[in-house]
Amino acid sequence: LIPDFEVTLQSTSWKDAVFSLKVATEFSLGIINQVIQQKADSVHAAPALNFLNHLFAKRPSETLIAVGRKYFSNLSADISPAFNELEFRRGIFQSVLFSGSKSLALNINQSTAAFWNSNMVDLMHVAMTILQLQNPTHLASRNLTHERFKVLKDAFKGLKFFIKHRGPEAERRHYSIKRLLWMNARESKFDWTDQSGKTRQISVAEFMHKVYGKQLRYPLTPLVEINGKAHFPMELCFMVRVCLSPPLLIQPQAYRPTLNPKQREAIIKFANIVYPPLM
Amino acid sequence: LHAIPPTTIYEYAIEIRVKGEPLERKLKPEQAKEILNSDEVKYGLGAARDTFVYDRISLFYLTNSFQDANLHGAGS
Repeated sequence: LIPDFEVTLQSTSWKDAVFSLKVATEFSLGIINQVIQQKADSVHAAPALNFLNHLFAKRPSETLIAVGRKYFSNLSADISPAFNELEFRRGIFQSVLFSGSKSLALNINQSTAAFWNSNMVDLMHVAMTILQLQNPTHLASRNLTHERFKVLKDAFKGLKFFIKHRGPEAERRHYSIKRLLWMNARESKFDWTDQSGKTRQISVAEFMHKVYGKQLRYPLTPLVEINGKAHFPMELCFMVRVCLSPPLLIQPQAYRPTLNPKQREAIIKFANIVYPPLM
Repeated sequence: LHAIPPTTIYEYAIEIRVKGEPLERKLKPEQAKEILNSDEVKYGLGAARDTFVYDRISLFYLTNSFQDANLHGAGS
């Protein structure tokens, strides 16, 4: 038993923090045997099962790609060839549960899930792959139909990215896309105060050039907006590959949008699921 | 799994408050890692630091999913 404690931590990098730990509850794993021996109701074993689920999840969550309670490997045999913007990965779902009335079991099921294609580099790359374009200039707002814009908008929502133009320190921050905008980097403007203290309207494209020395190659493509309402050009947004401690260095992003019929067909084929014919 | 000993499990409520920051603000993963790996916290956990099981996360292995100011851990 760890006695309650509270410590104040001082840091040169961060604001001071207070860490406190207090005992909340306690229970015995003996309840599991009592349930198996039918001396107690399984309802009372919920905290113990919850604990065992956390315990058994510890190792997989350290060595595999965790998506909820599913775990996926980085082995090439478990990854499908790229399917446009997607790749599929095989993994496992595990849970501890009572098996029948006389035993406890660790249930492990095979699971297959869709991830963003981990070979894609930036959002321009992602957008061109989704729309199957060869020429980046075709991504200009004026060249996109409403249907194609909606496809991109739906796919981009919630996608995580990072930026490099603010230096290495800023690369560690991840942003989540709130929405895709029709506006491009020349059209989106905001108030900006320059070094002389003069405030004026500046476009995103001009701002990137003046402040970060980035001359946009595709200033007419739609911008992405994050929760803070900042607008970013797609060519400056890089796909997040979550860096974890060794041995896993790259963790691709799980694909959140609903799969379309072709994608569903592909994932079922990869998962090798054969459904019996309908009677 | 049929031979699980009747070990007592204690659940702890852990709170990390960054001074001068609103409670709802997410904790930076790097800061969380620094806090949990600090000598003061390790000393407080004592011998239990090697057996402590965080909900979905271990003391020495933090990812960006660890962003909540409040964590609940379980340790034996």
